[in-house]
Amino acid sequence: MAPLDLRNQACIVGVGTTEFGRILDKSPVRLQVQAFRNALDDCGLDKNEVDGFITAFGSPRGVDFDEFTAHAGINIKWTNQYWDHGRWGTTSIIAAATAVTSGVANYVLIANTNTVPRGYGKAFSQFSGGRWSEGLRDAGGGQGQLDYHGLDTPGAATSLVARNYMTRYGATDEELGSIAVAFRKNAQLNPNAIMYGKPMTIEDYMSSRFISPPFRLFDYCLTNEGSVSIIVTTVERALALKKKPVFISGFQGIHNGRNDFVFFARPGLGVGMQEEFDYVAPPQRVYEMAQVDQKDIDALYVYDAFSTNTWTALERFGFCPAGEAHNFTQNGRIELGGELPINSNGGLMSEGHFSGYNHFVEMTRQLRGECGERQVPNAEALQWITPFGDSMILTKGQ
Amino acid sequence: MVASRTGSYKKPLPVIHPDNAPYWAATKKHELRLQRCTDCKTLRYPVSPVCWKCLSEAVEWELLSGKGTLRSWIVVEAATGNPAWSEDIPYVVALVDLEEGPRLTTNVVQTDPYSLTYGMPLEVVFDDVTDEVTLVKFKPAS
Ligand SMILES: [Zn+2]
Repeated sequence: MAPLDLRNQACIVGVGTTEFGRILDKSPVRLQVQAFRNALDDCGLDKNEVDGFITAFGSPRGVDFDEFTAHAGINIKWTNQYWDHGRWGTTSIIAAATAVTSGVANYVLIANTNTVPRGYGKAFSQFSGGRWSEGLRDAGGGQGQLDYHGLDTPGAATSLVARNYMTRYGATDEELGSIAVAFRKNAQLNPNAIMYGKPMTIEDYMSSRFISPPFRLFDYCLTNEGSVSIIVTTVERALALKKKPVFISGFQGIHNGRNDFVFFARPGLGVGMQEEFDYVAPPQRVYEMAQVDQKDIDALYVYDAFSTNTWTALERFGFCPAGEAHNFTQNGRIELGGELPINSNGGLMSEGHFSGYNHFVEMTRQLRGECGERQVPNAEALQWITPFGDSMILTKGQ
Repeated sequence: MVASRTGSYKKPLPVIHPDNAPYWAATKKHELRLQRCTDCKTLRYPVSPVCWKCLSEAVEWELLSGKGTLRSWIVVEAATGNPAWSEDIPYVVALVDLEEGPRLTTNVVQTDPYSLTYGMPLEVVFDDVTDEVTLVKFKPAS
């Protein structure tokens, strides 16, 4: 039996967010319901039509599926709740597309709320002390953390990836800075970006303090509060709603294994338990499924938790050969107006860290032509990529 | 060698459980031992109840030389995770390729953090951080 072809069978029909901020002091439930209301308004759907629900952070950082249905007064017949990590964007949307096309649910709400310990998290004791840490597993944390050797944050762990990459390929600090500068520049055209109104030059970047070199402060994403809601349904139902649907055209899942264990290092870099080898990007299913060529991607969206994720993701997907991404990201190429704009919203580094769900909101709005000053001209096909191998192509369809 | 300081050590400690207890029992005796699969002969890391190559549970704990080379490292200049690390700033977290193959994530100590060079020879040093726990670290080879 041939695999079921889900190309353009499911659509994103409604997107909504709250305001994004460093600290909002609003509970996860309040934020998630606000974003839900905005997503319902965006597509003109009645809340009682929503019968499937996916949440990526549970309580207390976000919402659990059962508390959300109780607070929002919806009745669902299918749900999925992911582990407290940012990596589930593609997985969530694939699950929603599969749910609606199989008929297990008709309208699936994908929910992501992020609150932080110094924000609303103060109200929840679970945030303070004594928590199990992934970096205490025998295999260590997903970014390579090993807490008892002082590698106890994703940022420090990823700076080791950056160090390996930069040494191997001769990348400079100024080249690294081009990523943060580009995303910050894009954010100046996005009023909902946390870094809106705060432009940054390469000189500003170079004079910011080191956290763990080569990473400076601005190589890190933001930590922040806010909420995102995305509604997915079938193409038939989508066509009956308020706006032109955005088509889920192609996707592929997270790749993991010993050579992928360190999430933000593409294979071959020799970080943690990875082997070191000369990586050559294999053919990627996402293009075949979407029937879109890589050269026809109008803008790219990257899981930019840390600056070097942009390099490792670009190389992983073959946008440039291994070792050349540090050259590729120069001279405005990845800025709005450049040859391949990346993270037109400002990304996790300058719009806010909503695990990429905010990037999917941006992709939807770009394909609808709703982005005003930061609109990518004639956006027809947009792609989401991560250093850990998952990807999604959204298009305007026909 | 750091004196035992149970009670005053505030930094994270490994979680010792039956699967990994022989590793930590060895380090406490100042021995670096890793598991070798007695079926397919793979020397494995991280410590695991099974061989990642053949899924066998048959194992012997092989005594290693404690020699390695510095593959890569960072100098942590700000403690953004557990604040207990502040007292060690700046400190080195390194990837060390053991002579026998596996690559450990560890610390390089007893040297200027800014004096390290790629590929430099290292040797193991055992840090008795509490009465129960001895961590495996490295220093420049003598
Ligand atoms: Zn074996």
